[in-house]
Amino acid sequence: MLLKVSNVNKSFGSKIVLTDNNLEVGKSEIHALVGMNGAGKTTLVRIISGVIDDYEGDIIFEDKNINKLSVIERQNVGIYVVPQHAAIIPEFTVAENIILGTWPKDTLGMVDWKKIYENAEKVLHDYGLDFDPRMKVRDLSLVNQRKLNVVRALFSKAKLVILDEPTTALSSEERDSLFKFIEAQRQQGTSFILISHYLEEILRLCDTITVNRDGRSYTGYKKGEIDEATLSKLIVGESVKLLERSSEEKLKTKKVSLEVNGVSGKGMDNISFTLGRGEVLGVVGFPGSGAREICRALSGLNTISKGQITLNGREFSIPKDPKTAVNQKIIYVSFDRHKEGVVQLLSIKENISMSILTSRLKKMFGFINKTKEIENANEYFKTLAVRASSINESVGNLSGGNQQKVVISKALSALPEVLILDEPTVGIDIKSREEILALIDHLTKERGLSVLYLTNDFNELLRISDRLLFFEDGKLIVDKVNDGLTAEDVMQIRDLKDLKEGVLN
Amino acid sequence: MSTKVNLETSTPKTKQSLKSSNIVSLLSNNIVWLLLILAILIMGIVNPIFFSPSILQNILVQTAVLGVLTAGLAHVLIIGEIDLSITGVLAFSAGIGTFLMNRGLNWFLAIIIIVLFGLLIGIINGILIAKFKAAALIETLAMGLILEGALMALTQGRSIINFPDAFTWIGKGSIFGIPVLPIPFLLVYLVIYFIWKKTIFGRSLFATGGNPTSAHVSGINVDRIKIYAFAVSGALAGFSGYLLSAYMGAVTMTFGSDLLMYTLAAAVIGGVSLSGGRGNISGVLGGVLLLTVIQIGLQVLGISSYFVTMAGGAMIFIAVMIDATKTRYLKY
Repeated sequence: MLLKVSNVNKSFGSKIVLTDNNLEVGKSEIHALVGMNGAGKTTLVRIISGVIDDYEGDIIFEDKNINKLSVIERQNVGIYVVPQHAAIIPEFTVAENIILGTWPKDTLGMVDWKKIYENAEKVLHDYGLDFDPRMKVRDLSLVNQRKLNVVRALFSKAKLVILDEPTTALSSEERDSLFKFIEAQRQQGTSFILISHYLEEILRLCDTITVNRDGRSYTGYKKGEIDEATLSKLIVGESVKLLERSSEEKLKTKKVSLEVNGVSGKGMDNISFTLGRGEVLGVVGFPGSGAREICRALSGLNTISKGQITLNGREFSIPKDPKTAVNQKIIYVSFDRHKEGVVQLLSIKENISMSILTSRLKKMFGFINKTKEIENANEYFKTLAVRASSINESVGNLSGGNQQKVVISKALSALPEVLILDEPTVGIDIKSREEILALIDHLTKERGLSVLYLTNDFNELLRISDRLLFFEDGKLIVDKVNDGLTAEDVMQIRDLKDLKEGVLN
Repeated sequence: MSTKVNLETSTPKTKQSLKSSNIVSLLSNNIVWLLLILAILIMGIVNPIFFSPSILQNILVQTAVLGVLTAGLAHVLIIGEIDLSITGVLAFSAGIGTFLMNRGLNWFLAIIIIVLFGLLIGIINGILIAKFKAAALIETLAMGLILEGALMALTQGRSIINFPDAFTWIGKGSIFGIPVLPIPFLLVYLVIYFIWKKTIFGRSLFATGGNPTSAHVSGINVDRIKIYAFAVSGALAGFSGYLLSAYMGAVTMTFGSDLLMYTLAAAVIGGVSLSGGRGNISGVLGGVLLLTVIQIGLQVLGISSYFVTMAGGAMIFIAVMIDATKTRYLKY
């Protein structure tokens, strides 16, 4: 046995986070750790890696109790965490990132650059990667950055690599390529703990599964012994009903809400489409294809150089910043929750109010209408079932899924006519995801809200979208009604013109 | 430290640590006020003169200038920037106002000019930093140097003196035996309390400091909020320049230049985070009072003036270390 977690307990203040957690990881094993947001996965990982050092219970690594070891000492014995937000330095080259902290010196005691690049080239080659060690990391694709992170861990002689949500924001091809890479390293004798919300990939890749629910661990499920439905029931504690958007509604949409006409700008080339009232329009395309660009441009985050936009019959003036877009009733929920979504230090209430300070909450002399603020925040707090003690709790204390609910509440508070959702369910558990999808379904039907929906999870996209837009090279190439399409269909359409080399790494 | 605890004893231990952690967080959030009370008590015990009303009054009077200056600076710190020009603004705006006054300008207009000049410099700082993306640290440092130098050029090394009584009343006068100076100082804090707690500007300030990108995406005009923050900082620096010149009855060549480090220290001791997004005005008030009490206390205790600066520095050092320890402790 490589790692043994035995009866680990942990509480933060009054909140019990982990109760009697157990799990075992063998040599050359890929072990999945799954569970809802707030179930205690991250805490458990931080205990294993030593970031949290005041826990109860034992962590045994290679038959030795490592409770007393610090983070660095645990790295030295071979436990290495690759976090969600990659711990690499984008301005450094690939080689510098790999050898970070262990610079080889020449006879004069200076850093030996020649040796660094030689070493790095060899390391990359050993792990089956073929990118240039002299490249800056910021120029690497996302999937290669993730692989580089794993390489860094392996280079530091890691025996157990813990991957926290490694496939976030990757396309399905990139995901496969990452998995192949992980599988290859496993065959070389490295063990992995993989944290992910994508059950399908877990069942495909992992040998054993541990489920965390409400701070308890349910461990020892072997590959092949458990199917997706059972697993998702185990994670949530009840069966989750997947949202099915009814198809009659889909074709009923006649009234046009948003009309985009010949919009060009950075990464966008003469894009025209319409979005019906109450319609959910799925947006598909690789990074740089124009899919995300048009979403951000409509919300004032990218510049539009040319084109006309009409919203519900009125002229929509080209937004120069998000404020002008929000004032005209288009609001954007970013894929990057940490950077562009929440303010961690502020409370749930204060976060939700951010989009309506100068509109709905404005009182005389620049004061905030407190009554209305509390009323509004409470409304969304309840509708979206945010799991927190009250609207006054600081957002930084919430789990990822609940933070995302706060971001969506903030967007909906502005009473938008068009809501632009960019990867709204990234890193969110199944239950929260279905709650968010159900709310979108409801609002489009009841309030006539129109939605642009961008995600790389095509199964999810197909369940919620009425129609799909495919982008490539800044152009809109296909506009197709979703009449029973499958994820394979979507990939096929997307790749039609895309068989040239070099697009996929 | 990892401690291995027998499961049977674990539950009561958790409860106990919960209780004590609540008390600790309550204490640490008001740490500056605790330190203040402690400082006054210790000094009072060593020398009972410290409890006399005149000394306590004196504390408020002497805090006024530092207090108003720090209140302005806190706005800039909360948005995650810094303003090192404030002592330069304080000095030159007081200098130009009194200079013109001595050449026949009405005393009231002189006050207006002092505050407006501070406001103008604040707006310029804000625009250069928010719109032109100048680095605040260097830009405001340069601005401060320019203004301090400008005061020297203006005064040619001589002090500006002979102010009309109406001008100095706020610094030297009293109503019913109570000095006037603490009144504008405390009023500034009262107004800022409401601005931070109740207004759109106050909320936007904290949102911008907490996460500027998030605030921007949510439709907050981040650049404008930054400019406003620097404008408040500049205007209050000008106003504190007026207070200091009225209190001293003169504008000297090195007017107010020793305040810069104290004002930064007071804000940080008062719990304003240098990385932005965190702070409350009662903490700032506690911070400026604490620093003044220490300075006055050392004088009252008869510590040689050669040691006062060093002792003051040591106290700031201790207060900041306590604050840092608190931040570390409350991380989880």
